Amino acid sequence: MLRAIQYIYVLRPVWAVLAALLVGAGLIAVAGVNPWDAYGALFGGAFLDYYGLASTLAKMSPILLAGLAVIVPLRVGLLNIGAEGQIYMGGLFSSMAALLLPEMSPYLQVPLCVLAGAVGGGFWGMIPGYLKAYRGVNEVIITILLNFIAINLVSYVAGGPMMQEGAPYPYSEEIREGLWLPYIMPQTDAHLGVLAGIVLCLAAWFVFRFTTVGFGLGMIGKNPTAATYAGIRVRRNVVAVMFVAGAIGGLAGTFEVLGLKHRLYHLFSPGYGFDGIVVAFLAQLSPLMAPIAAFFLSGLKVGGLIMQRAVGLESTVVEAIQGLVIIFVAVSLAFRFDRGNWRRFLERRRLLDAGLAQGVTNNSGGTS
Amino acid sequence: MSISRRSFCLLATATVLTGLGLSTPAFAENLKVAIVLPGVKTDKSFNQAGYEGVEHAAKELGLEFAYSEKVAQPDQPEALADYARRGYSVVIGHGGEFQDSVAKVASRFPDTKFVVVNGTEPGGNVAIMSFDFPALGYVMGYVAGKVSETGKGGYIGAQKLKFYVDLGNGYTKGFKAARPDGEVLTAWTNDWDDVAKGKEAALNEISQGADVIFPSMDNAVVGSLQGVKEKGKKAIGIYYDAISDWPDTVVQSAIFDMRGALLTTLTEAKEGRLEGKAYIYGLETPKATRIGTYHASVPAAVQDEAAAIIEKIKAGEIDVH
Repeated sequence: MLRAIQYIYVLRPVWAVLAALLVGAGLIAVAGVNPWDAYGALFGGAFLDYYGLASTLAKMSPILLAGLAVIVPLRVGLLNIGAEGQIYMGGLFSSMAALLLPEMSPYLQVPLCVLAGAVGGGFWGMIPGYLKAYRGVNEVIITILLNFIAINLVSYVAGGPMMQEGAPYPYSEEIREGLWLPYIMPQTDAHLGVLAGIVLCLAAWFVFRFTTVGFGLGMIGKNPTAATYAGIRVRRNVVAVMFVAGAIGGLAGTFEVLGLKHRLYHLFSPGYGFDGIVVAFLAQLSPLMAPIAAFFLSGLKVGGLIMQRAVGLESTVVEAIQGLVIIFVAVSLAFRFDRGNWRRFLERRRLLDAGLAQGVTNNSGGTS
Repeated sequence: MSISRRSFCLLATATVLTGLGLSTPAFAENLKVAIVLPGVKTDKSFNQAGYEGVEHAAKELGLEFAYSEKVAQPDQPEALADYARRGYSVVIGHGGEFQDSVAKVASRFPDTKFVVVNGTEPGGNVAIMSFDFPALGYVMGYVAGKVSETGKGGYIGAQKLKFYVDLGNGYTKGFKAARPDGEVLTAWTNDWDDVAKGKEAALNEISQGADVIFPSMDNAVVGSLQGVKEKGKKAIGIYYDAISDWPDTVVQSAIFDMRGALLTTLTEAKEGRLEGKAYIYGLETPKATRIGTYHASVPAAVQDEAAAIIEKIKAGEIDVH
């Protein structure tokens, strides 16, 4: 019984999502659409339709990587709100490597572009890491502020020095086709980035689960003082973890440029970095659960757009539903499984049942 | 052979998928039009103009229409492709940023016509629709040059996109045609909607001696006009007849009417004449591109000269580029 209750607790994001969709159904009905049709379009469109599934996977690539960029530092006790900025820096550095380096074999240049994007994002993540470790500056504030700098930097570069001559929108020249990431579903936009994300998630899980490095990092997250006492170099690790997180965020931007847009666009990420935070919470910081959470969230976003097209809902309703899901999940995480409490509760019930069973014979109610 | 549940599911999915693949958009009878907007349809600016334009044209021409608003860049190709798959025969991408996505999607749906508003590269089944920015800019520059007391005009843009660079160049050329010794200061604010930045840029140009300011952003235009009004200088309105809101400040407006432009384009489409070419609406299509109301202070002689210039541009006698 206790175990069953524990599982119900583990699955609380799922219940939260269902509850949010139920409330969302009310909103849809108020907007004058049949909720059943709307949700049919949402889930059918995002997961069961070939093209819809492809767009879900295309969207999953940045969302999953951003999620991992939040999960990894959060396990070490660092809140990385800066994945958005790291995405932009990754996009910027990789497109610079793709467009400004002399033309060379794709087998050499694609890895170079990916490396450049990872280093760009990593460098952007290392700044708050360094300030946190050696100067005690709050990493939340620094990462948030660095987002704006990165976004505006990309806007400047895409609309200024790297802008294509006579372009109708701020974007760079097109990256040549040899450097594009391969597509995983023909005739669609689903590209290799999502697979790379899943591989990185597995790698992160392996590191945290089976290696001494991962164990040390987890220890810093739980108790930095104890970690210091145990001989772990906390500061150096904080900087390194933020570099790795930034690099993962940078990869999200890199794959977005090399796999999907093939140019550096002004404002190319519509807040994927913040979706990453939602993924981290949905997955409850488990790198293994992250792909599932990211798949679900991307599907919700893609399906929301399909729902808008199929049944004519306004985008505000769609966004409200996505917001509801996030709020409900966040609140659900406040309900923690308390073994002692539940054990006492079950114990009381057993006593009550026993008392009642006795009460049937001697006709007096048992209370506790 | 019995059909198991799993193979039935597979079969059903396959059937649905082939069905989707084969259903090519029907043409003619009832034209279905879809527009994909990058922002919300209530932004009182570019997106609203596009939405209302299609809505108006659909009413006028009896078309079926659909829209998607606030479609972020990564979702744009899929939104366009989805409408094409759903049998919409004209799919409009509202903004220059759709150029690439449309080019990518259009080859997959040869029977669908795509229109890129403010696009740059027509061809195949992709049409582009835009306004003749430099022509109207030239007329505005001419009026500004005649009205100016200091001999200095001001142009404010948000980002150096092709059309807005062209507009500024047209304005400068027109200004110098009216006053050969004149000069036009140009500023780029890098923000379409920041009202404070718009005002700052206008005040800056005024302090350098400019007295007829032509701002061309979105919401930020309001800030510029506010700054001009406070300093008691003159300004040129954009997109609509702005004198209605700024009776003391605006001397003339460059009206680029999205409603009229979309109506004209969709009329072509309805009659089956829409081709993969550039539909640039200039002064010869006053429904789309025209001048607004003059301020009472503009002398009649100047108004006549401007009218003559419009005729000359239409006749191709003045090179505005």
